[in-house]
Amino acid sequence: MKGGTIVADFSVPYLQLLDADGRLTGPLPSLADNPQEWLAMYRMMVRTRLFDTKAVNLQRTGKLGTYPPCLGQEAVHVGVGAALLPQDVVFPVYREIGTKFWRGVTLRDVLLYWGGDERGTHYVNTPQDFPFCVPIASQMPHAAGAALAFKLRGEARCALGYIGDGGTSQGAFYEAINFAGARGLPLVTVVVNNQYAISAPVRVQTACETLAQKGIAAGMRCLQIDGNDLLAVRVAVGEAAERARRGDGPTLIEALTYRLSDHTTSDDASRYRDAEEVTAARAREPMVRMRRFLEERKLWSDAQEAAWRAECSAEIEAAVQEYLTTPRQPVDSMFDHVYAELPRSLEWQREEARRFSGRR
Amino acid sequence: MSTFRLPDLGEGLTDAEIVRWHVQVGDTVAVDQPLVSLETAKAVVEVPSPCAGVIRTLHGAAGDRLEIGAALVDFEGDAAAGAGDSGTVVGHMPAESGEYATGTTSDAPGTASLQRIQAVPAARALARSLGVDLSTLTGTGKGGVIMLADVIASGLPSLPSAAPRGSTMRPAPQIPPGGDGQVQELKSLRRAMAQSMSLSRDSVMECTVVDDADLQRWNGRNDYTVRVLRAIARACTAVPGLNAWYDSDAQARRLFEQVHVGIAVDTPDGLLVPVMRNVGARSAEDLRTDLERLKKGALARTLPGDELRNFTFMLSNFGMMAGRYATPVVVPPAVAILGTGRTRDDVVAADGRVEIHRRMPLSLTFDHRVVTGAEAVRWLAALIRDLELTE
Repeated sequence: MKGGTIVADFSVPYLQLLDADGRLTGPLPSLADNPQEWLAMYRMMVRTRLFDTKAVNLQRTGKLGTYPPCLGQEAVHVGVGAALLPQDVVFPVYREIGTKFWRGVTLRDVLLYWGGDERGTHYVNTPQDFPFCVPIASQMPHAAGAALAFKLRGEARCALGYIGDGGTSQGAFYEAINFAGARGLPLVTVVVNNQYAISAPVRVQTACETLAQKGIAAGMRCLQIDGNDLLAVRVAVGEAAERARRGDGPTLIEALTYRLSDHTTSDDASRYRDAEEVTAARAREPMVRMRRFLEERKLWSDAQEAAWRAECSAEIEAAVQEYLTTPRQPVDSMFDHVYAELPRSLEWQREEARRFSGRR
Repeated sequence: MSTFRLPDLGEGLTDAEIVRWHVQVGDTVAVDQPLVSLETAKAVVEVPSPCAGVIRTLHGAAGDRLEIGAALVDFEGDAAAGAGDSGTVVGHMPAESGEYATGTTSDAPGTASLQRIQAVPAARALARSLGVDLSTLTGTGKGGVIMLADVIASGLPSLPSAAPRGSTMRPAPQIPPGGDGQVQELKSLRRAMAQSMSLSRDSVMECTVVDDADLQRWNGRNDYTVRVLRAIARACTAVPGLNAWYDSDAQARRLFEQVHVGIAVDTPDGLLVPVMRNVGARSAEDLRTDLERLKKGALARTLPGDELRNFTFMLSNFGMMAGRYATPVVVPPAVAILGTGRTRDDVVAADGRVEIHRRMPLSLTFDHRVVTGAEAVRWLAALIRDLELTE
């Protein structure tokens, strides 16, 4: 358009602190310069991955329902966990067990949930956090709504909404970020771009160069980060959360990562992506680089790794036993917590359920 | 001894096929060590050992199909405490256990009698639709619960399990002398073909019309299959009634704008039908590339389910091998299929003279319940018109 003037100009910054070989790309911001936290985060990634592997095996042997593995995405999940404060509220999708574990959700809780027992969403340590959200993007308006509540009450808290790359095509996502932008809400949106919405690659999902730039249309601060870089996640989410809590508005962060596993245990990713692509992605996975980073600073050793893995495996085994021996809920419990006062028609059904299950 | 039974590896699957065992009888295995690769309707998955122990029996060999809940592996002794005999199903599965099967859904609350015939819901529904009295059946499920198979055995006389013994209608076949032959259970693709062909025979009223396209005017640059695909798309634009699905229950047909052509591909495992999407809107180069990709994928069996479903028209290029005309079979809900025979030089009458022309034999089968004869031949005429263009 000749003769026109530019009325607005945008850019999307990118952040990486730790490259795929575990080397720092520049000076470390003070927010991430905490060796004790490095160790705690790394340990949590190991614990998460071992649990994840066990959960898949439980499904394969008929002891767990459909399960969505998080292999390769641990840095985003654990980094987010470390960046938040207890008073913040997390609105997850269904894969972010690293965040859940960091915030005190137990291994047994997660097993119960994927075993079909809703008692697994009763989080004793973080009762304000939302449960896993299987419908796509419906958690985002909830997150924006919670952020509005914090703002109206004048509380120094933030809501953190997770969403996947495919989820950013949903109307609910756009509505939520638009609302948060318009009202300047304390909302941190983390788009976990693991490259696939089940079998649909990002390139068929959008014509945008980045998913981060979707935040520009909502008028919010946005950036893209290396989601396999634990330190970048810690810094980006930590800064965004601090800004949100002190009233400086929302941020959208696109974390680039790769789903090394199948979408869920009902999926077979080899049908829609090449082995070479997965091999290449494996070289950029998040845990190896963090371990190298720690080992180079003499903070971690093979012996510590082995001891920690053994400790986690024992903990996981105990949690599995606890899960498998949890008494089942009676049939009529499905009617609990649905209505404050159960309608007559459902009372009848509950009676029937009790009669047929022998629980008069 | 403890037994590990085949769990539901997806969501609501009924069976799985053994691809490969990773262990042998006598092996000592650890918890989570891979036991076997299984192929379900959704995926090939590796199943780990639920416990540590020594393998006593492997049930089935590569290629065998097992029902969910069937014994998969027996372990020696009770070392295999984790295997569990009911650990195959997460939560309760009332349809199998008969646990809540004593009720009927039609009763008003409070009137349910306690004297009930026990049957799983699916069996109850089938019995109702077949008019089978459940009280005449003996259940083979746990605690005498009537299972789906019990109703089928009693109510579907055409099934072999229910065929009357010693029937005089037709003597059972005797294996002829000179060898017992080889029994091959139909699997995956062949099984699917048997099912879709039976469905076609039972529902479609097929009618076939044949003709030839004269390719004399073709220049040297034409790609045989691509030309046929383009002609199909154009014929479907001219007569949309053949690019359709028919729902006989609803007595409704659904006419499509885009033409998605299912292409019959011969593989060592049987017939596979990958689908070329929206063939009318694509360039010749694009069609050729996609065709090669689909053929390759079909032969390697790597195509996802999405690419093998929901065609609106079907093409069988049987003339690649031999055959002039045929009566190709319509696969519902589609309503038509085109077969192309072996292209050959024919002696033809041209402007009062005898000439030799290259011709392509065409066989069009349509479902006469929903396509009229006039529609079919108008479609065929449009196809031939396009095929006879220079390029």
